[in-house]
Amino acid sequence: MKNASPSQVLIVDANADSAEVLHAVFQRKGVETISARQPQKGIQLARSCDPDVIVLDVESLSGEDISTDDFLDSNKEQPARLLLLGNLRQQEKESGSDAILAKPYHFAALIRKIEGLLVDSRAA
Amino acid sequence: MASLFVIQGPDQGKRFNLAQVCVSLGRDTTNTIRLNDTEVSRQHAEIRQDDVGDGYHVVDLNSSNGTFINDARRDRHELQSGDRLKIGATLMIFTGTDVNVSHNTDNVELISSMNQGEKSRIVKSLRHDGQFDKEEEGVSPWLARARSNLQVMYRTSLAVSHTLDIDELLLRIMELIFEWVEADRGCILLTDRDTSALEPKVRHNRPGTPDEEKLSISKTITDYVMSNSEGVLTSDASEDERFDAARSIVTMGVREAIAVPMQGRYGIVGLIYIDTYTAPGKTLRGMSPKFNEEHLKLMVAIGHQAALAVEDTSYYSAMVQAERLAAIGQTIAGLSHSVKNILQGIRGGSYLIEEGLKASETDLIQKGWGIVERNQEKISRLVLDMLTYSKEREPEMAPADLCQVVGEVIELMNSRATELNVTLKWEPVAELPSFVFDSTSMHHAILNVVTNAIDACDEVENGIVEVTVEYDVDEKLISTVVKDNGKGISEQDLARVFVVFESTKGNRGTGLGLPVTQKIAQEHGGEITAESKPGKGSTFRLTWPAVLAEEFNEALVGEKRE
Repeated sequence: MKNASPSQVLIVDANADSAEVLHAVFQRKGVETISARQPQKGIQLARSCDPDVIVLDVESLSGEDISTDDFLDSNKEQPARLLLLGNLRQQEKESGSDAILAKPYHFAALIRKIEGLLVDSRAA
Repeated sequence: MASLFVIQGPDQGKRFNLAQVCVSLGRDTTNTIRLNDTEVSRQHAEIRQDDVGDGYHVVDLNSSNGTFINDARRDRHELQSGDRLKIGATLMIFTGTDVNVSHNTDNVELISSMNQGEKSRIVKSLRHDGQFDKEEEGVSPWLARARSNLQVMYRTSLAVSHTLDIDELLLRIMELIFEWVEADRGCILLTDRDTSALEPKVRHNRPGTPDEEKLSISKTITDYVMSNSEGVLTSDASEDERFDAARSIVTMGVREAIAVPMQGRYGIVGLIYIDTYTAPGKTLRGMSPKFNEEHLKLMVAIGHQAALAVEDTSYYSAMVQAERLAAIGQTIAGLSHSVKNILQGIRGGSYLIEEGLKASETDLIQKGWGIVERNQEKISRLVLDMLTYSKEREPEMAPADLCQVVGEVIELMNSRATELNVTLKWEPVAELPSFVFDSTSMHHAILNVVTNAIDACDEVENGIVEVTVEYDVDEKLISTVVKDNGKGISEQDLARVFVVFESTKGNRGTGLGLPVTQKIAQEHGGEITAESKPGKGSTFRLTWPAVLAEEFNEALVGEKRE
């Protein structure tokens, strides 16, 4: 049961600084964060750790044979809420993600979005 | 891949790859190829790939001004490489996909004169220069004229093939014409691409004709030439029925004139004009005509040659411009990407500092400051790399201790290695002699390679980066070797690691580090080589000629004595 364990956020972003900032912020809020720079490793973590929210920087997918759909399908029983970061093409916007945040973003806005998705995830 | 290259029109210099089965052309933004040409319809035409996939045909979509292939209006046309596609004011050249053409030269052989089968003998030889001028007895006037004309054309061909500067080219052509015909004044006018008006480019006067005298060219003549695509010769313009007597060119003091179109492959690019002139008040009596039909014919041929050269030069300039724009675009994209990531880091670090200040949490402030500082370092290195890459400079060669330089790099990178759980190994070589090199730039070069090696070991268990220095006494070479057991580089990526703005490090890389290192190595007369196996790691070897400090000092002393 997800509700029994602490909330968990998976950050897939090639920019390690972003993950570090989110880790520092959510650690204070009692939310666990795990991160991957490579999307392939991100998929593995999504399958093995079953996070509540996945924060995916779509730029990290460039040149990789992985799409946003792969993250949506990573756990069919209890799908994680997916937040996409970046300037998305129409196809990506319609991919079924739960939220989108265009770049450049303010970290306060990003954190609010993640918190909102965590609440939704726990309520489901 | 098949493509369209714009050689005329507002989008001149652009190349459009025909990457899709159906490519639409038009002014509207929904088109695959959007042309900024007001004479193009919103949905003008489509280029469709054949079912087999190796051919293309163009289909006009009931456009207002039509679709033209090689100057002929077509509703549908199967495209061949080299076809000129004109829609609106936009002229494009179609290049198809590669076709396997046999160029079998196996059955060509050069046989020696000793060979039994070789029966030929030289009966006449002709040098490429000079010998046209030799006059032979008994040669008919017709043949002499033909030879002279051939000589003019030959020299024109040489003149137009030797330059890519249009002004210089036109000047040469004008000088050639004046060597050959007794004109008093001449001018070459080119058609302005935007306004279609004729603009004078080169003026030439026979010595003795005053330069300051205004050269007025009859619009009657130029309009006739341009609209009829015909060269004209007029020996007495007032009697020439092609021209309105009221506007006769004689009123301008012109006795005879030749004007020819510069007819190129894709249209008229301009006009060449020459005339004989009598200053106002001077008598015309007793003056014999200087221009004849033969001059006109040859001028038409010269005009055509010159037009082809002008077109080729414009085409070449457009290509160079397109490549320059592409290079600028690539540079901006590469730099923007790096700067954007650095700014993202600074933004994140600042946010943590702000939150830390609000909550009075020193740990958070420290973490934020660490991120900001790291990105400050990144941006200063990016700027340094840009300067090093863009500037041509001579290395400042001076005796230095290579082990000390490498040691400084290791010290600088230790914290980064620790942060990523990478072991940085470095064992200075005992009693390594002092060498002559630019220690500052070599520090920069080694730092780039070591940084890459540490980054390559990130997310690798037991990542190790080992730095060594080698001195090959026999070959007189000095090397710094950086070996890591990181994720390695694929063969495909390895071939491009020294290409500027090509980074295998994703968001962390600027694509400048290794090109800069290569440049520094080359400035020292050396090189950098890379070996790598995906999943196993990489080895970068920076090698340059070893100049011992003692040899350098002796040479300096010798120079001072001299």
